[in-house]
Amino acid sequence: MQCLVLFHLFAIFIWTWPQPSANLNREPVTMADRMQRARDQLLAANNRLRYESDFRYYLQVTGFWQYWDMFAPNPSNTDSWLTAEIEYADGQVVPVEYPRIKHMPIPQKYVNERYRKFTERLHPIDQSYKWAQFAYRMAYLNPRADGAVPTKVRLFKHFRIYPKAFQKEPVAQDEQFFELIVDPQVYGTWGSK
Amino acid sequence: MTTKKVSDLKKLQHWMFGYGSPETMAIIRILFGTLIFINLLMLMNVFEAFFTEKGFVPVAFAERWAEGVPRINVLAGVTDSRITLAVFIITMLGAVCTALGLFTRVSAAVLWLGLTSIHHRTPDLLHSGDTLMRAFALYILVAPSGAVYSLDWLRKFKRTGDGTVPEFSLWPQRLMAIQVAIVYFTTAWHKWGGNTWREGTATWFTSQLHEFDRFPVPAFMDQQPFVAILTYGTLVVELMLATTVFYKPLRKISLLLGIGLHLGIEYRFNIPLFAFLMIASYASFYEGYEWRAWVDKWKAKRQAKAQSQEEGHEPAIST
Repeated sequence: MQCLVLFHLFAIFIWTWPQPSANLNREPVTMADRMQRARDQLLAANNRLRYESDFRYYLQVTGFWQYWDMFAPNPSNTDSWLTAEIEYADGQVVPVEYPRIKHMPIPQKYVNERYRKFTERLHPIDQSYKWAQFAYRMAYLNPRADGAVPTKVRLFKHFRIYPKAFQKEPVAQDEQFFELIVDPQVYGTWGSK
Repeated sequence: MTTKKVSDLKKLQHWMFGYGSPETMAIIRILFGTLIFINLLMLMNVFEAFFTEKGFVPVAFAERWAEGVPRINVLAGVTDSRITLAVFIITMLGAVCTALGLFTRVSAAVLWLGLTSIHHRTPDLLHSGDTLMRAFALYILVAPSGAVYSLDWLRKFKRTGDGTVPEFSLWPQRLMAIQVAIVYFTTAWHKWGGNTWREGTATWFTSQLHEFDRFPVPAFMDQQPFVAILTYGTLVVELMLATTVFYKPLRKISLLLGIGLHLGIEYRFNIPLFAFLMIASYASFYEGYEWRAWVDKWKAKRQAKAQSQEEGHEPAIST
């Protein structure tokens, strides 16, 4: 039992180590560079152990995996939210908003925070497989009164980037990141899923 | 190895695996069982959006996230939302029974399995609080957490008339405490890799994330030198909660600073339950006999108060 407990502690501890920095192969010049390089090499070796060996099954299968990078290595410098545009065959375009925490009263914010969390895991390009589902869901949640089937759904990310501290609030930028051509059959059966 | 080193190792082994009273583990069980129940109740609010096929996250996304690694997940491949709902309800029942200490071992097993499955069903929603809940659900399961302050204890007492609480090996409690220290140590380590934490400007950036806003704070808190104080203060407190918290003379101040840090975050930012979960986990730094002494003192006060009310005068016991 003692060995198992110590192994568990070892396992969860090394799973929580940070990632090596991006410039792992840069030639060290100063003493600080050398220390950074040694640290990065250690972290890279740790990555091989935790992600490439069978060791990872112990944590991943069981749900013991954990990572504690709250507001780290830097807090996000981007405030962002999502909207969609639903287009119909008659040319009407209806703008709709994905639940936005900023616009909710405080008790609502508390129980709906998961909507904001999900946006963090939706927008990156490697998550693009989620976008069609998201677009259908947005259309399903915002039906037109006459029951018309949308033809397209466009998804937008709106964001403010704060490049440096103590600067004025920057202007929000908008980016369309996906357009769905609606399949009427999929849309028609969405509610019965 | 010198005699002193051997002696230190033995002390460490005794601290980790020695025997003691299970009150701490029972208190953790009550706190975490309750908080996990509240968390699941809050998840029910977004059940259709994130746990059904017509929501934003169908079950196929979880399979993709798993990257071919099998996961403990009773909801794997389940597309019928009625089954998913049933798993939610059973897990919530497990949380309530765990908090009450009713059939504790079985309840805690149901809670851990259900919670792990729910997390593996929709990992896109998880934040650090969820990870802590999952880790503690396991520790509650393997600990003798129903041995005291529980309906199980009461049932046993009624059945046998024996109310004594035996001593248990304390390794589950130590796992909890070391787990909390790992949380703080690694988060401080991660932060040290970021230039905004080193420059003392990190908390200014968090204050600009208006999707996180909750209650307002005075403007000076987002200006220097306050931003630097909060930024470096956060790192210092996190390091204290990984180190000095194990040193008894500094334990109280370390925990009080941690409570201050989390209540500040709870007031300002919309990060549901995280502060309460972290603060609840601090219970693991106190020994069972310390909790028992507080409970006994509280009972004595109540008894004295009740007695004095019966006699019609103020309690004689000092506060």
